[in-house]
Amino acid sequence: MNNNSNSETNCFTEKEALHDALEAQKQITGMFNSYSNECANSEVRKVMLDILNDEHSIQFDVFNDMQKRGYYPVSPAQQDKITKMKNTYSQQAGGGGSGGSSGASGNWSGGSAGMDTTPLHTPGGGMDNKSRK
Amino acid sequence: MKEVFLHMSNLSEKELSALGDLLSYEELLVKKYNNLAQNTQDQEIKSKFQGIAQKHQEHFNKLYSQL
Repeated sequence: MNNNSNSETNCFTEKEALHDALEAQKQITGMFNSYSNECANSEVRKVMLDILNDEHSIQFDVFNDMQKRGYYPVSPAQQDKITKMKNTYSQQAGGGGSGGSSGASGNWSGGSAGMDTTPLHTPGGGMDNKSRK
Repeated sequence: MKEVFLHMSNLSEKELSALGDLLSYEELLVKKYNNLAQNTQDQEIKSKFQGIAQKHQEHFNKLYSQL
């Protein structure tokens, strides 16, 4: 704060500054997300959700800036793992198109097998893939 | 008695508490981004941080107007 030199150890590098900004955005989006769930007043809720969306835009903006500068490399998901996951959920995925409860006509073992494969990883990998430049 | 109702808010206690937390954090973010901007040499990042600080001030104002 009291100097302009990046060589000073107390001063953030560009990478650190962007990282700090990214973490702050992650924090604030989490807060708006949680609090919007607690609203009874629809106007307050709308204000919170609008700002939540805006905070996400800022987060993505900062992220893209980091990526552009090579500060935030992302690795694509492996195709064989994607295929494996698609196979795990293929039964349920077919159910949506034909409408209604027909998707439940299959046996339930597919569903419970899916629980073991930590599905949280795919959406993240997918997004990283898309935003890769 | 009537006065009591006149002074009742549309805000729930939880909403008021949430707005307080959010106002406090948005205020902090305005300062944080201005600070980051001040200490950044890169002009592109500097002006980006200044713009983000401005956005957080707008968020603060929107939240404040809900009180």
